[in-house]
Amino acid sequence: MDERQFLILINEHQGIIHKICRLYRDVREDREDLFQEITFQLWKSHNSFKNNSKISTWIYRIALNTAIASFRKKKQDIEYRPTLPEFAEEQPDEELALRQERLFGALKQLDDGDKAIITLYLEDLSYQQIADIIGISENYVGVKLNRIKIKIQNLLSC
Amino acid sequence: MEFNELKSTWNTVKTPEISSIEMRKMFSENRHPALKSIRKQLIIEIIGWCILLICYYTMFDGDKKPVWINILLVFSILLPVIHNLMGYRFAKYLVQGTNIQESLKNYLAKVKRYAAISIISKQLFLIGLLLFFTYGLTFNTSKYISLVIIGLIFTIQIVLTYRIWAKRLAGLEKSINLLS
Repeated sequence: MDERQFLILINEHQGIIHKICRLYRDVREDREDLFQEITFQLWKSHNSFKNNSKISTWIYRIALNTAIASFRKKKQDIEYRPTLPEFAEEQPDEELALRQERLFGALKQLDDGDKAIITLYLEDLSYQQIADIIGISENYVGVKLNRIKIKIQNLLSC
Repeated sequence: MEFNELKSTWNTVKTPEISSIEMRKMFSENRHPALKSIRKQLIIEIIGWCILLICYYTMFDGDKKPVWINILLVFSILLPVIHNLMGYRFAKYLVQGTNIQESLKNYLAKVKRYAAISIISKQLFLIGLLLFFTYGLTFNTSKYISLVIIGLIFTIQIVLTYRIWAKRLAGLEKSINLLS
């Protein structure tokens, strides 16, 4: 895969990288750094991509791996702004923006590992695909997801 | 919110668009946020140590001290430089396996080794400097007090470095345990 082909692929999937950055980092600057780190790691490991798996599966794996493994900067104060963060700025539907904020508010409170599993679930990956990416059995994915769903329900009902 | 609703909300999230030109720049090591700061630190340190190595022989009486203590000083200065070079390579490759769990386990093992080298090299560097500058000194009470203060500063530094690494390692270990 040459640089041009790789660029096209990453461009097609940049949405999921942004969502992962939003989930794993609180401040805009940290999200930008993580986005850059993920893109860099994807480029560094693009030779390891085997055509027997889907490119999206490979991108999820590298992106989530990078988000968990890269060290966070010292915690900064959360920036309070009159409008919701950059994702919501173009969002005309207030109710939808609120729902998204609630969703991310709950997901952000999960542990890093749980965030990875729920992200893959929300992206509509099968249990088998999630198991392959994380490195656990398919059955255990089901167990983990049930636990995570209960956690999220509790967080959303608070 | 029901789970299907969560999925549909997730799918409606609009994300920013980064241009291909901007994206291409991100493949470069020069634009990498962590590597950039390590490189900057490395350059500043190397310049500083080079100046010290050029000047110490005459400025700090290196010529009047035995060869072994001069070699010890050069060695202790080289240690943090080598360590930083290792750190640069280390920060470059975060993905170390065919699935997330395997990759994190391999990465954790490497971070542990790197953390141990980080603490040891820092201490060897400080001990080397201390030995060089105290060699041949006649000690009196005030010098002993100074030595104790320096010793305390070294100890505090070890504790702080250890705590930083312990926190990072604990975070990684927690993620691995939650996934397994």
